[in-house]
Amino acid sequence: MGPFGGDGDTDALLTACGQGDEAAFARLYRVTAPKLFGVLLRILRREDWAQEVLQEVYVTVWQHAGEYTASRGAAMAWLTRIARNRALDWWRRSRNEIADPDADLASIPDDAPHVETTLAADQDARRLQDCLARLGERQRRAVQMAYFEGLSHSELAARLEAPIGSVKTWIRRGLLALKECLGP
Amino acid sequence: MNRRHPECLELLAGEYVMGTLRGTARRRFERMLRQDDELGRRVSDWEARLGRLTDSVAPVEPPPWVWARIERSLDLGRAREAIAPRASLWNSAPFWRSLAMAATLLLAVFTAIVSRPGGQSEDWAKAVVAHVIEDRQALEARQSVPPGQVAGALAHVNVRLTGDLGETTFLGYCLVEGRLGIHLVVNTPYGRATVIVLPGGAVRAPDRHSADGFTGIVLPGKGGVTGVVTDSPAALPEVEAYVKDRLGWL
Repeated sequence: MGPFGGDGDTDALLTACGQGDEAAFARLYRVTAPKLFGVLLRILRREDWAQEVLQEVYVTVWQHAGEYTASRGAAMAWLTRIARNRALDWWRRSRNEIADPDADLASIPDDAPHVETTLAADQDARRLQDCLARLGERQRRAVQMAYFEGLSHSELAARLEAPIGSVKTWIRRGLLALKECLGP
Repeated sequence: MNRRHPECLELLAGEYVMGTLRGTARRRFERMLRQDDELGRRVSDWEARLGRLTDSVAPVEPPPWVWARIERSLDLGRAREAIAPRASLWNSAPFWRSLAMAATLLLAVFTAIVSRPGGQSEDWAKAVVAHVIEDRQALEARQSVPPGQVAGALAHVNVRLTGDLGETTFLGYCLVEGRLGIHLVVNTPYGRATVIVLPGGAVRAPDRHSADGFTGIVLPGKGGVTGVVTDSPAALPEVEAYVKDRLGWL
């Protein structure tokens, strides 16, 4: 198992997609879509948006699978990158159009549990948890909110009721601390 | 910030993956990324590192129509057989029970079809109502079909469930005018209704038919015909609107 919970199979499936193998693409979707859908729900917090973006993501994956090479890292990391970037783009486009981004929050089943409660699954995860615990409350919250909710510095500053300069510092220190304790 | 400084690039790569790098700074970074393999490696490293946070996100099964839309927009064909919702439908015991029930009724329906002259579009309403009359047993089914199973079955015929259809008590295949379709019995707020979805069928305009206490309407759709039949004729307009609001041809 790689750091994304993926494995060599996912890498091979994505590589096969790059060669135009439709059956491999269907299988890749079956294996990876639930994870990416969970991530999209976590970021977008609206089921209809997450469905739209999931569709966009896999269309992109099929069209660009040829650019993936297993030597560039785990397929799951490649897929997660596309999904997160798409979701952030979508969020930027959409957030100006809605008054209350949390309005539909209640409609999403809360099966995207919080980091603190689920990370104890294995040793790697515990390492991450220890690492996050060392960050200090506000740095840790800033890192988690930035990652899972796709918030910008100014949005983080508003949500954490802190000056934007402090938020930027927390994020940078948080990143460096994560790098230090999770390794290269 | 000196953008060429390694530590600065390292942080920019981290913020890029984190998502806090926005606007022009993000676009500028993406331009650099396309030209700089070393930067690409830094980004990959950050993805692996921060990606660990997604380990804690529980997977959520997306609705089946997402895959149907992906397939359609990419014009895929061969991959169709490999996808999970189909497998889960085929492996589902209630589905097989309903299929067996449909099969026992097939002969009667087939007889009804061959005994009717022609296959003109004006016969669709009549054929749908006749099917419901022939298959009265379906109306007596009392077991609730899970909404996910209904959505999955509809996805097979490229119909999307766009809203809560209400309690569904029967789900099976049906054969109407030589077309294999999906047969549902739904408890709407306006009474019990049969919904028949026939991919590949075509009607030019909505058409009604009444027989034996049942009234039905067939509606044209992008990929086929939707039939709505009720045993309370006065409620047909409401039932029709209710179903139309909740089903969409892809």
